[in-house]
Amino acid sequence: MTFSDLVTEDLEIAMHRIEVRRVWENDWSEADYPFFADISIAFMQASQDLDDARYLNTALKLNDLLRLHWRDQLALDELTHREDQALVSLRTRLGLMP
Amino acid sequence: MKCCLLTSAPVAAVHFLYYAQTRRIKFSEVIVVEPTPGQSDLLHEYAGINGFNVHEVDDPNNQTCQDLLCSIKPDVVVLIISRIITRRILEIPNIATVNAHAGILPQYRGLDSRRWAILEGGPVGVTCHLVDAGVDTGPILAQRFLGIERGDTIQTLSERNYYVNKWQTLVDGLTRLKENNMQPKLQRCSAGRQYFWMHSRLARLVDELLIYRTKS
Repeated sequence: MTFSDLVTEDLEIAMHRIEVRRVWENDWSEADYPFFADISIAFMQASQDLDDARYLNTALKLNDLLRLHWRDQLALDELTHREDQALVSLRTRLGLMP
Repeated sequence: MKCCLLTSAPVAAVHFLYYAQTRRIKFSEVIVVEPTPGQSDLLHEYAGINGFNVHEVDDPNNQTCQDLLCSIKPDVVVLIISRIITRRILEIPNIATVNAHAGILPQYRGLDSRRWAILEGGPVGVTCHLVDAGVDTGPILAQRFLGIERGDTIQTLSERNYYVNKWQTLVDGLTRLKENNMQPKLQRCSAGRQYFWMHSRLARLVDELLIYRTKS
């Protein structure tokens, strides 16, 4: 089964599938990682658009997996930048100092 | 009412059994799942004093556990276990299988309910519910809320929820079942969401948020 098989167009269903299957604990091929990154970015965006931190939570787990296994440093830097932005945005919404 | 406890946490089981006994809920059988050497010593000692049987199984969903539960013929099975239990096990007791969820239902189903509630400004507490095939979706028997106090941290809040709320709510629910004095309240699952294990970066942010909100 490839990662794309796990995910439908519905982000909430995708989040459930990723969490229930604990995708970050499995072995994946290098070809799956760009798709993981795309989904993670979609989750981080959804977290801000929908004010639902569950999406950011799942994205953080995917990002850990990517930082551990993926060799595309440029893409990883972009992912980390977006992750930091999403966390700062959440902190701001909660009234915490960025 | 013949009660059986299915647990993977023998020490927590002693806390619960002791408290249940103070409110006249007695257990005749305790099944320890995935036993590890030494962890059940206190439970065995307590069993000798209080007259219940202790059994051990490797897997709560295997045939051995199913056969054991069928031979016990319990009216109620109480779960203190972090595993998902299969439907064929849930269907064994004559009355129901019961669980205490460390969060308020139907709003906060799943894991890390306290932290998710703090993050979203929602209620914190414990819910005792009947167990069905879903995750924390069964009818509600009892519920206790926990107020957040000045100076609370995630540790003080968690400890207070454990010592002041968790077993108390579970026994509230069992008492209602025993006395047959209430209809379990069906959950409207659309009124809540399922939450998952919280990543450590988010958990740290929530811990900081709680301190920020309770510092004055």
